[in-house]
Amino acid sequence: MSEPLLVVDDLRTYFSTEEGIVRAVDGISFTMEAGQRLGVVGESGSGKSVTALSVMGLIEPPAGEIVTGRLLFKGQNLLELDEDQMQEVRGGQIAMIFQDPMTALNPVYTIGDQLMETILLHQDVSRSEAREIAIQAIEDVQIPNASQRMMDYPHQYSGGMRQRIMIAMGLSCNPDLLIADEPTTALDVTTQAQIMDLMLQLAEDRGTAVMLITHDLGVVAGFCDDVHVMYAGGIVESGSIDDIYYNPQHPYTWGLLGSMTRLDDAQRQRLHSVRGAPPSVIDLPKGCRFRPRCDFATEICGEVLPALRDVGNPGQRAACHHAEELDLKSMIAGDETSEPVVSEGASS
Amino acid sequence: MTDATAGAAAMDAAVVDPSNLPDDVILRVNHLVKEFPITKGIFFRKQIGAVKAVSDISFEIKRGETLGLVGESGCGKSTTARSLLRLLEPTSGDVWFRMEREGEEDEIVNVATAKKDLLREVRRDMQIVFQDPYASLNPRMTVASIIAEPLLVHGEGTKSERLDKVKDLLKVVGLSPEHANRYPHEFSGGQRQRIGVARALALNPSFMVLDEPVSALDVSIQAQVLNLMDDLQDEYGLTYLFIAHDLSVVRHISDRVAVMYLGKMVEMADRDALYDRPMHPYTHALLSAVPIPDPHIEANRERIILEGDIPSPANPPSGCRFHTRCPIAVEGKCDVDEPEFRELEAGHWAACHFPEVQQVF
Repeated sequence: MSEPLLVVDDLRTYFSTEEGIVRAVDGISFTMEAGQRLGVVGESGSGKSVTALSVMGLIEPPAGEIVTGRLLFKGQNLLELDEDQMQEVRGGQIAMIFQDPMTALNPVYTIGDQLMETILLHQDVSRSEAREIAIQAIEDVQIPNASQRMMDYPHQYSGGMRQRIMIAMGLSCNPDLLIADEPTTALDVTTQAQIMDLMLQLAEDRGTAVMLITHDLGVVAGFCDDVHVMYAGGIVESGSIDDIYYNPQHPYTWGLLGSMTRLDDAQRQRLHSVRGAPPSVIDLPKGCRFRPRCDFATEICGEVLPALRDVGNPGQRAACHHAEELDLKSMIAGDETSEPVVSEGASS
Repeated sequence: MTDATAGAAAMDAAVVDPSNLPDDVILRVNHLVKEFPITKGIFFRKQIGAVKAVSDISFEIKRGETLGLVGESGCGKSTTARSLLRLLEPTSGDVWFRMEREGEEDEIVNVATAKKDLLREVRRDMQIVFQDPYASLNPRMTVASIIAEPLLVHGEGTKSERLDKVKDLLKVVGLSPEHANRYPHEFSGGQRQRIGVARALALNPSFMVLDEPVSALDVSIQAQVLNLMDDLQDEYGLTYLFIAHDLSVVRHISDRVAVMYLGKMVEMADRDALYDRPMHPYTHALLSAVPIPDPHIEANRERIILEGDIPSPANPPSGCRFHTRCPIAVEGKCDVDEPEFRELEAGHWAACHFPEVQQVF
């Protein structure tokens, strides 16, 4: 059996604030295989972005600290690397795309300079070779007149184009893992479709593993193989996209699916929303963190934090004491119609 | 021109006698234009151009319905909403609004030209809920004074009556009356949005503009606020203009939907007609781009990927504004002639030279 690309083992990342310790990520474990496309889904404050920043080694002490855990990337524990070694990994083997492409680019350098900087840092090439690679990278993300546009500054690009540049930069060193943190949240829907299409195509061509961090279950459905659902610093459910969307085992996943408005929903049913709001990660409830909002909570939920365990389909896991008793699947509205009705070639 | 008020021609300002506004119409917008000047220089501010944020749109809203207004950033949807409340001064056009007063005959007011006192009067009936629940509430005011402010401005009730009303309103929007003395920072995003809704309801309006009311909220909170909007509409018979970029949310909440592109309306129809049988290629592309949280459907969907970006509204393309990105544009026609916004089927309007019913799902 081949070695997993990334093993995250009991990661805990805490931040100290005046109000107290923020347990942003509180004991999560998962593995990623080479070429896997993994979605990490959750609402604000669930810890999904901090997970990504922890893997990238971008948690800055003293504000934040990885308290415990191991991050094995191709067998090597990233937490034991010094800053120079981490610099090699970051951008070279693991690349990251951020939500806001304007703040992620330096406004006073040309696009070409910024791309070449990354390439020169991670690859043993001359300036002119780096230039060639950079032009190729821009062409790969389907921006016309690549050599011309190398000389432009970020403000001369639109939002979608900037995000293409971020992808070009991320992929220019052929990383094994690309972490995309809400890459399309700031973009319009038609631009989002362009970018997701491009990312899917590039990831498939190169076999790059992608960790897609998002709040949008729609984007995940079209892009990922597997999903982790995060809530208040922990993973509450994980499985393949089919497991999560058609056979949810955790009441939060179920609530999230029921809260979503759907483009193809002609019935206009009332949304079965999750009541209340997520807890403060400074003052987490005792026991299951979802208990205060859960319709099915019992006494044990208030006392014991449920562990992530095998339940549902093979390979699926959920952190709920009552997963077996709840038949959440049958409570998904319109489940019978979840088989797609596709009219072939109807749009010609 | 006597029969001009009926059917398609009813949209034309020149022939509409506002007193003939059909009883079920609460608001009619005629040829609304809003331009923002582009100026040069520091002292003389010479005008060198204009951003045509909204250029000549007409539509009407029926009493008790929800009209969804969708489009991508910069299409002019928020500018439209603000112009019709006259939070922005329209460059030209009319906004006829039916002002209802108990025991009196309805008064039809042209909001676009109304003088100060009349404008103030009509605004009791027209309220707005803003997108950002963090920026739209004054952090130094208590919830009670925020919600009571419209009442105070319009000189309604005594202090204790106003406080009673505030407590009622808090209950209506699902907050506890004990929250009245707290400050906005003590509330989460969803709760703040409820406070914004309570403020908008304070004067018992008949019409509410909801400008991206849920886009800043998390999915589970979004659903709570959408359910609340539904309940309030049923309870008070409110008419909504719901503005959003999220087409799934708009399908959920609207009775009719209008799509804007670069300051123009490109399509308008009943909700299901628009989503299931769009006629304008932009609407079709927009719908095909929206992800659906269902892996099987996603795996089999055909996306229309539009090329390029939205052109600048300061210098919109000639002819049809969408022709630069349109997959079916015909050279010599679409880049020359501007298509008319016309009624292709009963209640289904589109501005395209080559409209064709498309299948999205």
